[in-house]
Amino acid sequence: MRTINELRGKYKMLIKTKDFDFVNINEEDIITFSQGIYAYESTTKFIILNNPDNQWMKHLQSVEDEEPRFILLDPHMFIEGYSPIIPDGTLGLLKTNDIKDLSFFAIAVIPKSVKDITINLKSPVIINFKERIGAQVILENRDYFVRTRLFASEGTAQ
Amino acid sequence: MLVITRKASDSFTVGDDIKVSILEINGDKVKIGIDAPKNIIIMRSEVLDTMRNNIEAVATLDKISDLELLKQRIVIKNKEM
Repeated sequence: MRTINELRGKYKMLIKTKDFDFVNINEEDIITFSQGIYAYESTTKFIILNNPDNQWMKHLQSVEDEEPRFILLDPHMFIEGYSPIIPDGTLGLLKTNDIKDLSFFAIAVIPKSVKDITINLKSPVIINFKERIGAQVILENRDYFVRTRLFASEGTAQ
Repeated sequence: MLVITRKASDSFTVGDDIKVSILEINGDKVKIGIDAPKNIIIMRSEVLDTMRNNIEAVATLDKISDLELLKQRIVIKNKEM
C-alpha cells in the first residue's frame, strides 16, 4: 500500500507561469522555501523551470501564482572563483552537512537593456535538490554585492 | 553623516525613544544593542537591500530578449547547471 504522500508525488499539476503561460509540472519537483524569499516570505512553494532557449538560465517560479518569479543565473558561469561563505546554521536549515549538496543561484535584475543586468552575489538562492528545499541566504562575503553589474556601465563619465 | 566615536558600553540616543548601546567590540565585530519602540523596524542593511532587489527582480523583464549579449559574458562555457 502506498501512503497518500507517495501517491501525491505522482500527480501532474498545471500552473500559470509568468513567462511560459500554463506549464505542467510534477508535484515532486516542487522546492519548498520554508522561510520564503526576502520580501516574499509567504510564498514557500517554487518550481525551477529551464529557459527553453538558454539552458544556463532558470526561472524560479511560484507554484501558487504567476508572481513572484525570479530569473536565476549560475554565478559560477559569470564570476570566476565565486566562493560563497555561508553563515552558521545554513547547512542545518538546508538539511545537509556538506556544502557540496547545495546549488547556488544568483537572482538577476534585467532592466530594459540587458547591458544593465545586475546579479545578486551577496544573497544567492541556495537549493538542496536532494531534499527539495531552498533558501535565500545572505552570505558572509564582504566583497560580494546585491547589485553586481555584468557589463561595465556606459558613458556618463567624461 | 553624523560621526561619533564611542567605546564599549557607551551608548547614544536617537530622538526621544531610541537608545543604541555599544555592547562589545571584538576585532572587526561590534555588538550593538538597540532599545526602540516596537513599531520601529530595524534590519541589517543587506536584508533591506536584498528585499528591494528582489522586488525589482520580480517586476522587471516581462519579455526576455537580447540574451545573445549575455551569452558573451559567460566565463565557464561547458558547466552543467
